[in-house]
Amino acid sequence: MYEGIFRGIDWELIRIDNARSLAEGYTRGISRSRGEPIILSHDDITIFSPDMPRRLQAHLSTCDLVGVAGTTKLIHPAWIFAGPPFVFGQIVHTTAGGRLGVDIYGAPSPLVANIQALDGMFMAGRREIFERIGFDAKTFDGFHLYDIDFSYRAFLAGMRLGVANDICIHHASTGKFDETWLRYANRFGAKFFPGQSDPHIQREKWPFVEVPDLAQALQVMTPPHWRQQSESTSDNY
Amino acid sequence: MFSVIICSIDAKRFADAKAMYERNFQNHQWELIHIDDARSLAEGYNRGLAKSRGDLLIFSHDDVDIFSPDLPNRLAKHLSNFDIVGLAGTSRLIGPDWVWAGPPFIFGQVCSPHPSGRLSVNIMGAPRPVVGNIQAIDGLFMAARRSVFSKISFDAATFDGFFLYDLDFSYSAFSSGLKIAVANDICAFHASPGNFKEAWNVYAEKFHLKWLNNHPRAKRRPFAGTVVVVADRAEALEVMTPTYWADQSAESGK
Repeated sequence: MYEGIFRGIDWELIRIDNARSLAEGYTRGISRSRGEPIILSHDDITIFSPDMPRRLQAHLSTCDLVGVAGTTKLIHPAWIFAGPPFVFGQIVHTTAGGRLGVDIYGAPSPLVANIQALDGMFMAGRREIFERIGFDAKTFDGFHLYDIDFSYRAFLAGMRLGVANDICIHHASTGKFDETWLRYANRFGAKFFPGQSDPHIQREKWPFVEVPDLAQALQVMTPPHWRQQSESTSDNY
Repeated sequence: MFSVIICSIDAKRFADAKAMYERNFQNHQWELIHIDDARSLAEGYNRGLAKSRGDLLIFSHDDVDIFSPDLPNRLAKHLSNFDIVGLAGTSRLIGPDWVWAGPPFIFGQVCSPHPSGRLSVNIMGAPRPVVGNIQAIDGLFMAARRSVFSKISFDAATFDGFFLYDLDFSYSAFSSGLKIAVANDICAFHASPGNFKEAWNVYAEKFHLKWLNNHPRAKRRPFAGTVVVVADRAEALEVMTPTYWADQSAESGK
């Protein structure tokens, strides 16, 4: 998939096949890498929108760290719990029945800024941000919450985070809030929200649109109102 | 001047709606026209329109409660840019119900009662305060410039009941080249959800024959919408005023 995306562009792929945790694996991968910018990617995503390298570069001209899903209001280790209108991104999943569906957490514009935390399925940033912020492989020594920890610390350090809604992804797996996840969520809570009780969680539902194929998904994920927006005046019309 | 036209046969609901508009139009020039014997909403609205004197018209259900601030100014501003403004609608009408196209072609956000006693905020789509290029709107609240009625009116002959008059009116406006928008910065509580009983099917068929006869019959696209459950109207207002609107206006103001 990445070979197709980066055809004709200078790039390198670093595979870590023995990571003790994602934080440890990414730290090792980054130290071996030579490129700029750096993309950290899960192995079960498919990017199916065109022009990813150029779009990513454009977003990285205004953001330090870009992902494809996240929140402007982190109130819980699960970034999604803030609910609309504080969650952003749009991801295609395969339903239990084998059909495709687009989860639209929030996509008011191609790039949403002022993000506080990003999902780790896909994150990209300049080398400097990864070297400066680093992954906390000691606390997050498994496969959960390393992403929220990293991106939230980047936000707290004053970095500019964004969600790119114009990089369309099919993700083969969905988030599972199981016991392992809960163990890391407690660590995250102790690190960032010590002494705080569980916040009021909005009971949220975001749009889910069933589609027959990825071509239709791309259409749903490229709303015509984005075009109006770029033509809009200062009055937002 | 605003003319608010309400068809209502329920004294309590009308009194509540009247009090709500009095509160919203305090210190503004406005009039309220009550039609208490409408044969259909299209007939009632046409009669209300004939009696009205305002240059800006509001056609409102009697169970709508607008709780965001600054209604007269926001609406006047929107109506300086658009001919018709609603609170929910679609940029792609594919059938006799405006929601059928699903996201990202439906817009608006409306608050309704939640079975728990709290409130549901139903967000059809609110990428920014006002969304243009709308083809059809819901009738819970519709505002229009008077000039619109030199081109179109409510079709009381075809829509002689209480369904589809709104879709017909707005789609007819869209087909005549008028500019329609959905205002996401006017937050309403709507006590009754859509009621699709048998009569609806009759009018849906009439709508199809009138407007979509040359199109293949479409179905509602399979989708689920956004619902956020909140404790009260203050929290609803927060959810219905996304912080990214401010980023957008800062961005476009550069």
